[in-house]
Amino acid sequence: MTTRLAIVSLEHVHAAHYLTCLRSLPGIEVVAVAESDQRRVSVHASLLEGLTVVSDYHELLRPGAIDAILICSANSRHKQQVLDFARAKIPILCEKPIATKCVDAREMLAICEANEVPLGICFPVRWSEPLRQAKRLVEQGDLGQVLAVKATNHGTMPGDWFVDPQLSGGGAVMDHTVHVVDALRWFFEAEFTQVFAYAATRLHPIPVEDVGLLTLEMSNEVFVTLDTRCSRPNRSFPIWGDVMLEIIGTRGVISLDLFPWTLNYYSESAGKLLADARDGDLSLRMLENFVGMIEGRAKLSATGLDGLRALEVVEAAYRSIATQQVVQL
Amino acid sequence: MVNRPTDQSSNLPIKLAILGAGNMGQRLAKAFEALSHVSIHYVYSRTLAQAERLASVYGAKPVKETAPIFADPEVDAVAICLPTFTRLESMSPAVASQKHIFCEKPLALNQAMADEIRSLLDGYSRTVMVGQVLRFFWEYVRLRERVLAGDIGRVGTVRLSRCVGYPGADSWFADPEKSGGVILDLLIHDLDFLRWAFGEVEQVYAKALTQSHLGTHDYALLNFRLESGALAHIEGSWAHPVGSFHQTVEICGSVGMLHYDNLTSQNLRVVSTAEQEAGPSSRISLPEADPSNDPYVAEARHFIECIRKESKPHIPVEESLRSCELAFRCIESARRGIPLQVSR
Repeated sequence: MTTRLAIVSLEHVHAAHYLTCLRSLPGIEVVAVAESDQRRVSVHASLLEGLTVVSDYHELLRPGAIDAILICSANSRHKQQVLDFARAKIPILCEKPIATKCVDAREMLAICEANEVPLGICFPVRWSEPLRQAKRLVEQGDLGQVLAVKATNHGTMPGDWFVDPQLSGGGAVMDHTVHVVDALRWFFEAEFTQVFAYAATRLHPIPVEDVGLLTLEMSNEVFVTLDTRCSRPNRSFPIWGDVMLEIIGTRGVISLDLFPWTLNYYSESAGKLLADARDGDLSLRMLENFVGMIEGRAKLSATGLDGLRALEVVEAAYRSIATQQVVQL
Repeated sequence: MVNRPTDQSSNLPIKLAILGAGNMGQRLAKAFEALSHVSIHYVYSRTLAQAERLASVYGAKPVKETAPIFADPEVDAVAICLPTFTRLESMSPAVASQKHIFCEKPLALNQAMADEIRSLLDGYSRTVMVGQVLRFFWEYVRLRERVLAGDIGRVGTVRLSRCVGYPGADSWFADPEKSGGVILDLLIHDLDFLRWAFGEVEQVYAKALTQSHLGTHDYALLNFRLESGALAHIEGSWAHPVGSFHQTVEICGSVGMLHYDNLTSQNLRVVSTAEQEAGPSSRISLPEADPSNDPYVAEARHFIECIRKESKPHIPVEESLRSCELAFRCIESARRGIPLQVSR
């Protein structure tokens, strides 16, 4: 039986890529996209060919319309949309961060639980094969005792609603922290216990922070720094950014570049070097896991609870930035 | 950096004593020897055999006491390459005997020593220079020039990294009471560069293994807010493979980004399959240098030029002390687990 899935909004930059991935997966059919912004619909016209496009996502809530929903709207819209689909008993996969406030995320979890609706969060980094290989190496003791992790998640400045605090909930710290935080929680099967953070708006004339530096401690006594920012020059940088982890152990060091510059493309038409990254398509495997869960053959990897845990770290980071104190979780 | 003075003082012969025959003593002896009209007269080491080994290379006299060096009026200058905790034992007699002083980094082990050195050198008229060698690396000089020229606009973030192997449990480096651990001994380079290129630090929050993994590993991650408002992150590792040497810089600004990685920009790469030479300091890794652009030769040359021209070194002693004091604040932040203001 084919799962009929719809996508709420193309607002998030990942939506178009997810749509392409979903079309390559067996057992699933994307039947509709809800997008209220006609400009976005026309930008993605070729991608949307053959799909029903509705301007109001409430149309997807009527019984029997769809079997699953993927929410790719702006961060602050997640809450209401998740509540609506949960009440309609439709399984949900929601773009990260789960919400902009922990209090909202907790309500989302409660309503999903009350309606027995599974809620997944888009954390594709967990699906990186090199990261999984590193996890195996660490678990079999190749690195000895892990002592510290140095992590980065850099990007170009995304603009659009990402820099509108009402819609995004914050800048670089909000957008980038959760990926690495979730990956490390999953990697070590441990929780974050402490956060200290700096943030500033230094690079772009935007109303949210564009640089952030987090120092974290985990329940396994590993300390971590996470450099989270929109610092990659928008016009001249060869690629969107990076996710990198360096894991320091008593018996060695693992360096992970999740999106290495595999090919250098010196482009005359672009007037710069362009890099092609090899990512092994993490998103595809993440979506496959969600479909597998709906078909009853897989356990959902990243759940709403994981979304909440990651957001708790973000909220603590903002509290630390405001108070300049070390914040305990 | 290359200076070709034409006045006669450029040929003034300089007689030098190398204090310490370890890794840095060997490296600097080689650097000074490369300069014309500079000769090494003495090599001091507590262990005579080690002094003899290095002295024989340069036709110098090996000694296991420093007194003859300070008593010899022929000696113009001393290069102090001894363990950090012994600084004053060589610095005080060097000042008393009016020698020009080149001192390896870090200049001071702790605040008390920094204060003592500050007053010892206050008003001292001979040339004193600290081996903040990073200021003589072409790459770091150029990075700073680009930043100061405004090539990348307003600086948002700075990331500096320096990763090498553990110096060894038997070495004095392993005792933070003697070396200051990875933050002082290794990251003094990057802390000094940070201040030199980006101005003073306002606040630091540091994490380090210095106390928790005594004698086996040291690793530190330092986060800063600078007075300019920019953020900085410095990594220092004595947890990488012995023999490895990796330094990187990334600076992001409002209209551009600078990036340097010594492993992807080497024009001289030496890989040895020979057995590691045994010795107390054979675990310390130093960067291979292109002989035409060797930062150790550049700093040695600058020191000698300052003596000959009676000019002030580009790196004032006070600068080196301030960089040490920043390291002390980082060490304290890591120890106490709190963010600390860096006082001016």
